Amino acid sequence: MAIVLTGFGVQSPLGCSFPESMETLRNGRPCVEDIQNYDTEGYEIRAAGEVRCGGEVVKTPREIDRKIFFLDRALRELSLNTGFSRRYGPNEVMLNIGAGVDYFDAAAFSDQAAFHHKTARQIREVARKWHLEAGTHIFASACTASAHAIGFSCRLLRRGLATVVVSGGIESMISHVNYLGFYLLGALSRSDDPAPYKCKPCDLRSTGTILGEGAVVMLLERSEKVSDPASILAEIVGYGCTMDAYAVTDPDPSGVPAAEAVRQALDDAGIGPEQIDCVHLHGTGTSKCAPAEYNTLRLVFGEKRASEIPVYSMKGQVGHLIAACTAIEMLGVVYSLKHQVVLPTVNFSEPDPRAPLNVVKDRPLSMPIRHVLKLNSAFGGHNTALIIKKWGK
Amino acid sequence: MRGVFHRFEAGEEILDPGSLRNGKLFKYYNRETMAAVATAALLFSETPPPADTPFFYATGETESCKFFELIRQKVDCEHFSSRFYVDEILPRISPLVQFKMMRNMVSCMVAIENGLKGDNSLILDSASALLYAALSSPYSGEVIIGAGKMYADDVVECGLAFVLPSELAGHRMLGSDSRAIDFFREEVWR
Repeated sequence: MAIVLTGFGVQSPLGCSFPESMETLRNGRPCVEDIQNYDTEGYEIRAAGEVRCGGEVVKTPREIDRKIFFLDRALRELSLNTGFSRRYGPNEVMLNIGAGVDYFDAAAFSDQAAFHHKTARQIREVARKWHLEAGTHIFASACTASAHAIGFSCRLLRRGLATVVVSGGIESMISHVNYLGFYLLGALSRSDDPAPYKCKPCDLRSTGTILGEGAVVMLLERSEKVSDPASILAEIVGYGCTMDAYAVTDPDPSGVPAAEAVRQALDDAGIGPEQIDCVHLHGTGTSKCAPAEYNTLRLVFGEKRASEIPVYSMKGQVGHLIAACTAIEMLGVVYSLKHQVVLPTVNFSEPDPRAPLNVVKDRPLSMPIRHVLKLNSAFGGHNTALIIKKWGK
Repeated sequence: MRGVFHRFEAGEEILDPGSLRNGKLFKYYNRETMAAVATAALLFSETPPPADTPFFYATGETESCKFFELIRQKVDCEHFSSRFYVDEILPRISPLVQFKMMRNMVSCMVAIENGLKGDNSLILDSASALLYAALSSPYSGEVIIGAGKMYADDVVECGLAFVLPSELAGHRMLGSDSRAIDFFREEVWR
């Protein structure tokens, strides 16, 4: 029995459908610009990866929690493309999703109910609307929330604890309270660096990350339940997760706990590290991320191969979708497996000597790809590793 | 299952920072974090868990943001603009507030304080997700499950337990909309 991914619903900086998003990945168009959805007068930094349709930012009234709005639209696409609601009964479809912080409408400060939009309540309402009635499970571990949701889904499917799962992630911190709150953490790419407003993963010039937003959902099924094998996009074969128990803001620089997550995922997949063909990094563009990820790869692959295996980060193109980052980055994984290429990391040009990784740049690298390792980590020390395999021979 | 459940009343002192192994991190604690770390200290006092013990924790839906309540009382928000937010409100917000609002800080602080490095997840609200996470963990042996809830009136509840995943099979809260904290109130606080 295999756990397979059979469809996506996408509302993201890459586009508002699965095909549009794959095309934006292909053409490498940067999706980060100054915030357009609302007035940012007075902001010192105002770049973000906002959700776009046909290249235009999707605008919403301020009363709306954008991540919930995008979840509803993503589920519509997933339902249309996969027919999950026709093929399964409502009590068979589970929703396991990573979700970001609550939305606060700063302009409604004087009205508590209008000010604070609670996440779990809203997600349950959307789940009911789309007849996802086998349980709604929300993961909130910041940047690993959607990785936890996807890994959890695979475990339930494999153990027969779920029949079919809609998984993924939703996020929008692009609002006054959340965007400027994140700005206060000092993690955003500075506007006075040589390449303003850019998230530059693994690059010597990296000064921080850029926030992105969106909703990406995917249908995960057991292979024997799939009526059309041609719909299978990939197989998820391994999952592991650990905690650093090290610090609040910084990853454990040794990479030891993250490497343990990879070893768990390899064991889960029943493969050795030599069978991994490329790595899709967390790659945030913050100064401590790349060295920690390099050390992780060094522990898993050995020093020589850690510097040779092709690596990629999507965050240069779309920004950091926090609770939805693994979900959107699964699009890059599927792209690699489908087209047998590792995409170039947008905004990468000068290697960081502390992290001598083989970051693909300028143009896609064509190569045989059977297994992709997907890494993510979070503030507070969560580490996740997923191994995704090309479906078929 | 061996568990601890505590209810801390509004204004009640929960934790002495001097008792922490990493006292300098206390500035990042909100009341739920204090409750979880204090409850963990009680649960682990006799049997400290091995570092690879899985730890699954569910935090409650946020009921109020006291910090913003205070801002609201101090500023005239009738004529809102971006410039107003940047000039009048942002300077009143400490970066520490952001950390206190991040949901995963509770479980991260428990992990840091007790050296927990194993399988994990941080769940929002749901008992079903918490029980399924424990049930589906590949770890053989007892895992740690926990839940916390900070109410609008500053009351905090927290429960933590060692549990064998097999003890949770068929539990009525699996697949339900029950809150994780209710699991501890019903199963531990009896």
